[in-house]
Amino acid sequence: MNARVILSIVVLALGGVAAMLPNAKNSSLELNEKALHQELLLSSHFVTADELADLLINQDPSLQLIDVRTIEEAKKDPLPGAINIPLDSMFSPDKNFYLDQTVMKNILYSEDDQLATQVWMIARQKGYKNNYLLQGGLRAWKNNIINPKYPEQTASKAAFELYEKRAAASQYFTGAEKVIKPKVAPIIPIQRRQKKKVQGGCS
Amino acid sequence: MNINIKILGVIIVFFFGLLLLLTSRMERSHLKYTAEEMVEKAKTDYVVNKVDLQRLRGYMLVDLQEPQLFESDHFEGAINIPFATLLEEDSKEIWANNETKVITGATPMERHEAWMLLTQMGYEDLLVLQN
Repeated sequence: MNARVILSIVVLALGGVAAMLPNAKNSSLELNEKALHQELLLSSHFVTADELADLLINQDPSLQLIDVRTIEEAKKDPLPGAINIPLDSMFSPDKNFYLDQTVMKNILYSEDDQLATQVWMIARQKGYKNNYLLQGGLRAWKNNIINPKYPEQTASKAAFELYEKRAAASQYFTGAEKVIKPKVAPIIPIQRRQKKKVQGGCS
Repeated sequence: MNINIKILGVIIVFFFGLLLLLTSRMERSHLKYTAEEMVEKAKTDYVVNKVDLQRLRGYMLVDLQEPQLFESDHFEGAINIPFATLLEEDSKEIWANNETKVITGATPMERHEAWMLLTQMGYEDLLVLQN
């Protein structure tokens, strides 16, 4: 038989087998359950409220906040510069490119952990990168950064330092309207008496 | 001309072998639902609080804490599946049983992560306890 005919039959047969290979449904970008679980165990997929405050104060240009609450909820008290992408519209063409990109560092947040974790899990399984969670959500943000609690008198030095830092951050984000100026009378500079030259005496 | 075609044939078969080898090495996914389907799943109401628990009948509490932390503090009758062992065979047997499984312990984030992962794998009757 002609070698060319044999070759075409072989190639056709191999093509048929290749079409039936597993994983035809899932693209290679998507994660399987083990890969996803491993990533969760690394604990590098979330930031704390303190870390977010640092990023915002330092005005990290690659930072993008994403509010995953519903449109009505997100209108009430968004974080500065946040884009609203509710769970429902994460695959809509006008929102999807914010999540599926490689340039910005997205930080997803909701009221607590639930909604943001859902959106993150779906996005990561789909293979999207550069998305992070705000641990504890807006509640943690408000409790720790906006209204930090003054530590107990017996607390460690580190706790007081953390409080100082959070209080400063709170002033930064609330426009310093809460600053109470200490009522202390200005100190009048003490006028020194000028020394008089000794007069008289023999010279 | 004939020789050229034979060489081409060998090259094709070689690359095909390589492809087969690579795909067999890849871990297969056991996820039942796609990411798009999970959007609908996530909308279901799966969070319960302690008051809801009293109304529930026949459920088991599954605590995701580390074993040391679990020893010092956990609900009565709860079983321990540390988050790190979520997908081990022993754990899967528990996820697969017919009872309602209420996920407790660890951080709220980890509870929701566990719920999303297990639900996408097709396990059912899973709830998350709110603290």
